[in-house]
Amino acid sequence: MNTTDTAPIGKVVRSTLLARGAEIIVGGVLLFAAVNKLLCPGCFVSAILGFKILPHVLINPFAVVLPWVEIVCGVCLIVATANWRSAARWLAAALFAALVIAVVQALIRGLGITCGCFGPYWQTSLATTLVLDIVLLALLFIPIKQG
Amino acid sequence: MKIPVRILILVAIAMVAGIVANTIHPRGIRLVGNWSDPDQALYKTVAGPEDPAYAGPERAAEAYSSKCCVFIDASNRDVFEKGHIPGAVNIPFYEDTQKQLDTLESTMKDKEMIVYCEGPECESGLLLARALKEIEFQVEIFYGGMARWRATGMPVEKGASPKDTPVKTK
Repeated sequence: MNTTDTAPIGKVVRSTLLARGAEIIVGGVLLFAAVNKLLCPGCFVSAILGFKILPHVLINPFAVVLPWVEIVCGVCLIVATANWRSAARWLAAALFAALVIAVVQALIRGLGITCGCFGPYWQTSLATTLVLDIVLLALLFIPIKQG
Repeated sequence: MKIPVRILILVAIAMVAGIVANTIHPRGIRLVGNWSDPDQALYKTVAGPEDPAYAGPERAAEAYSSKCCVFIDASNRDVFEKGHIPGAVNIPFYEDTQKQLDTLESTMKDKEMIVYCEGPECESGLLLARALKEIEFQVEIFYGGMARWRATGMPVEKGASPKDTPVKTK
């Protein structure tokens, strides 16, 4: 086996490892965020209200379900098979994209709030949230080379 | 199975898990809140039994006229300067709170306090009230905050918080 044969395989392995690493990092962040939200569900209601985008009637159901969407996504990204990871990646991307919109509108409207993304004990400013959100979104789309 | 179908399955699992977990969670919330009085609805949704007591707009107005209590505004400085309850002390919850709590502890330990922030949607008032209660202040939370105070036609003061000047109370 010469080096020209092994180089593409090496690239594929590296790319796969990179993409898996990214999925595990994003999955871990989602699980961390969900667990912290579940420590105080009511505090998450307050955080959602602060963004002033959801009608009141949707706030409680959203607060109940969203942390579990994060848990399901996080678990899938870390341990599921490729097909389910792919679905979780799109779902997580939708969550991050929605959060980008929520944060940007809050910044434009000058709402004096923090994100509430990591529950009441880990406060993150809107600017920090926006940067983190974009980084996570980018991590989700590190392509896996097929060789 | 196509990706959109898998996504729907993941969301369905999350919905079922969320509803079940909320039912057995010791601090679970109502799935449908009664928002006819948003201030109280949010307070009841957010606060636990160990949290500071609720002060409605009437209680806040009564405390203001009787000067029985110190009002503590947890908003950011720029929000505070645009308008606050006259005589309120500004302790921006997200800015060096510990130092300010230490100052309060040495100057106002015996005072009753009512904490508020911009309106019923902000969480800084509740978080600050919890921190104050933890260090054994007598504290209530005016959940409607400045939004409700303004709506009831009460007087509003503008400008910065007087530094290191404890508010005079009877």
